[in-house]
Amino acid sequence: MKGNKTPRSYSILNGHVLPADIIIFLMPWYLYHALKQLFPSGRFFSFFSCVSIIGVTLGVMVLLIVQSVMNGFGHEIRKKVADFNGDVRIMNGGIMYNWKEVRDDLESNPAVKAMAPYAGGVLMLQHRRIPAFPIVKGVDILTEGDVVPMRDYLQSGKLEDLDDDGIFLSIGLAQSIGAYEGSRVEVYTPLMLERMQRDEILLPRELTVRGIYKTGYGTYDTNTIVVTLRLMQELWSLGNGVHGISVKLDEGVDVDTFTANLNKELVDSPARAVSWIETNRDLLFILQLEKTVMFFIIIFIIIVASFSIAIALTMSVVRKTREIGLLVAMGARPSKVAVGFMTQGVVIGLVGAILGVGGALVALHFRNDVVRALAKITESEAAFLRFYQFADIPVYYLISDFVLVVVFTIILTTLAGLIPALKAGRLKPADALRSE
Amino acid sequence: MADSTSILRAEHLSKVFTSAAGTIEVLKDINLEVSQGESLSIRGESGSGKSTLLNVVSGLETMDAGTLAWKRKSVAKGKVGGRPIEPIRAGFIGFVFQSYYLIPELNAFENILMAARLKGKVTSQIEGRARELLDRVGLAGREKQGTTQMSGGERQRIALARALVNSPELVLADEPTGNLDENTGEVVMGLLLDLCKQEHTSLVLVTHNPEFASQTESEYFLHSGVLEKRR
Ligand SMILES: Nc1ncnc2c1ncn2[C@@H]1O[C@H](COP(=O)(O)OP(=O)(O)O)[C@@H](O)[C@H]1O
Ligand SMILES: [Mg+2]
Repeated sequence: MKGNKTPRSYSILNGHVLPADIIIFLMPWYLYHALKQLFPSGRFFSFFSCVSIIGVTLGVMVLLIVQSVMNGFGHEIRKKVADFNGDVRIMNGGIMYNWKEVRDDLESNPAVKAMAPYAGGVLMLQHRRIPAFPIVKGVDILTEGDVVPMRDYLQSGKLEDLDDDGIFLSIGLAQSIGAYEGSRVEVYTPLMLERMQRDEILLPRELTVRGIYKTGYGTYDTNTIVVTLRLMQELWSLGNGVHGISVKLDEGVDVDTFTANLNKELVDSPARAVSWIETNRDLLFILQLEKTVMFFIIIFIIIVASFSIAIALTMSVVRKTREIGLLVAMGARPSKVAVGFMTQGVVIGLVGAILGVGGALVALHFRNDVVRALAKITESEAAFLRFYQFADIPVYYLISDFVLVVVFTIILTTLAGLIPALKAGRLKPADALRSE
Repeated sequence: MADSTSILRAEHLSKVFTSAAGTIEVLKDINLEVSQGESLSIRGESGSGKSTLLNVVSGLETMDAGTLAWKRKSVAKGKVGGRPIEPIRAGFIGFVFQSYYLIPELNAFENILMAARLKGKVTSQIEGRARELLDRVGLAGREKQGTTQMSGGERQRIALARALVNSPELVLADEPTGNLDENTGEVVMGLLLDLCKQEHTSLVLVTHNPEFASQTESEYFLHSGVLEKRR
C-alpha cells in the first residue's frame, strides 16, 4: 500500500501483538469506546473512573469484611451452643424411663458419634447467703465428656472428680456468688419447696464445688451448673429416669436431616428428637437478622457510590453531546451508544467488585495484625482482650455472601449507567452536533 | 473529472422547523446532484440553512418533502433501500466539521480508526490505510499523541484522515476552516481538496471563503433556504 512506511506493532500480520491488542481488535466499537472513556489512551486512568471505582471498592470491601466477621462470630456462637447442648436431644416431654433402650437402638446408627443421658431443671443455690437461680444439668460423667467438651471447659477441677456431693459452677456464677473450688454451697430444689408447703422441714442439700468451667458463651457462663445424673435423679425424684439423651453426631452429618429421619423412626414411641437448631431458633434468628440488617445498612455505601456514578455519567453525556452526534454521523446506532454508556457503569461495578473482593480478602487475612496494631496505637490492648472472649477475630467465608454482594453491586452500577444511557440513546444526531 | 455516476441526488427537498416562535422553512425546494468525484461548494450567510442541508442529505435529519437518493438508492426515514442507514452511512459519507469533534480519550491514530471501527472492524489493511493517511496529512509518526495536545490545524488534519479512512464516496465538510487562521486554513483546505481528488471522492464543501469555493468544480449559493447554482 502506497506510503505505508511504518508498519509497527499495531498490525496483527506483523506478529507483534499482545492478547490485549487482539481483544481491542475484535471488540465492538461501543465497548471499545466505553473502555477508552474510563481508561483513556496515554493516561493510566481517568479521574472519574478512579473515584467511581474507589467508591464501589470501598463499599464492597466493607460489606464483605463485616459480613465475614459477623459470620465468624455467629459461627463461634453456633458452635458453642451446639457443643454445650449436643447436636440432637431425644426427649419425651416428661421423665424417660426407657432411655437405655432408646440409646441401645441408636447405638448402631452410623451417624451417631456419642450419646449421654441428662436431666435438667432450675434450682436455688446459696453461698454465704448470696442466692442464685441457675439452670442445672445432671450428667453421666462416664459418657458426658464424649458429647460435650466438658474437659476443655473446666478451668479448675477434673470431670472425674464430680461425685454425688459435688457440683461444677459456671465461671460467671462462681464469681457472682464468690465461690471457689472447695467452697460449699446449699441447694434447694422445687421438690423441697413442695414439701415445705406441706409443712415439712426444709433441709437444703449441701454440695462442694469441684470445678469451675467456662464455655465462652455468655449465657451459659453466667447461669448454669452441672451435677451428677444420680444426684439429679435423687433431687428430682426421677428414679431411674432421665429427661433425655443428648446425641453427638459425626462430623459432616446434616443435623436437620438426621433429626427428621430419627423422628420418622420414633413415630410410634412418645420420644421425639429435637436438634439444637430448633432449640435455639430464636438465637439463630437474631444472628441472621443482625447480619441482614448490617447488609442493608452497608449496601448504602454502594448505593451512594452508584448515585455518584449515575450523576458523573449523566454529566459526561451532556459534556459529550456533540461527540455522540459525531458517533452517530459516523455510523453508530443510537441503541449502541446507549449500550456503551451503560457498559461504563457495568465496568466500574465489575472492577470495583473485583478490587473490593480482593481488598476484603487481604484485609481479613491481616485482620488480627490490624486490630492489634490499632490496639497498640490506642494503648487499649489489655482492655480489648478483656472485652472480647476471642483473642483472634473469627471469620467465616460464605461463597453466597460474596456472590450476593458482587451481583448486587453489578446490578446497582448497571442501573446507574442506565439513566445516562437512555439520555444518550435519545439524542438526535443533528441536534447533538449543533449543540454548544 | 466528474463522471456520470450519481452519488447523491436530492429533488424538491424541503425542511421545516417548528419551535415556540413558530415554523420556519429552512430549506425550500432544493435540487442538488453530486456525481462521482465531483467537488462543489456551498456558500451563504449564517443561518441560511447550510448545515441543515448537509444534515438532511446525510440522513441525520429527516426531510419534510422531496426525495433523496444515494447512488440511486432511495433514502427515507432512517433507511436506505430498505436497510438501516447507520452502517451504510459509515462507509458512504465522511464528515469534517468546523470544530473537529475528535474524541479526547483517544490518541491521534485511534481517532482515525474509530471511523473504521464504527463501520465494521479494524483490519490490518485499515490500519495500513490509516497510517498512510496520517502520512499524507503530514502527521507521520504522531500516532500516539493525544489530540488535546495538538494545534487546531493538526486536529483538523486528523479529522480529514478520519473522514477518508473508510474510503467513502462522499465527503461533507461543514466550514472545515472556520476555526483556523488564514495560513493554516489554506493548508487544510489544500489537503482536503487534494485528498478528495486523489481518492476520487465527491466533496460538498460549505465555506464562507470565496477563494476556497472557487477551487471546487461548481459553486452554489444558499440564500434563505433557496439553493442557486452560480458556476
Ligand atoms: N432543530 C432546530 N429547530 C429550530 N430551528 C432550527 C433547528 N436547527 C436549525 N434551525 C434554524 O434553521 C436555520 C438554519 O440553520 P443552519 O442550517 O445551522 O444554518 P447555517 O449552517 O447556514 O448557519 C437557523 O435559523 C437555525 O436557527
Ligand atoms: Mg452551519
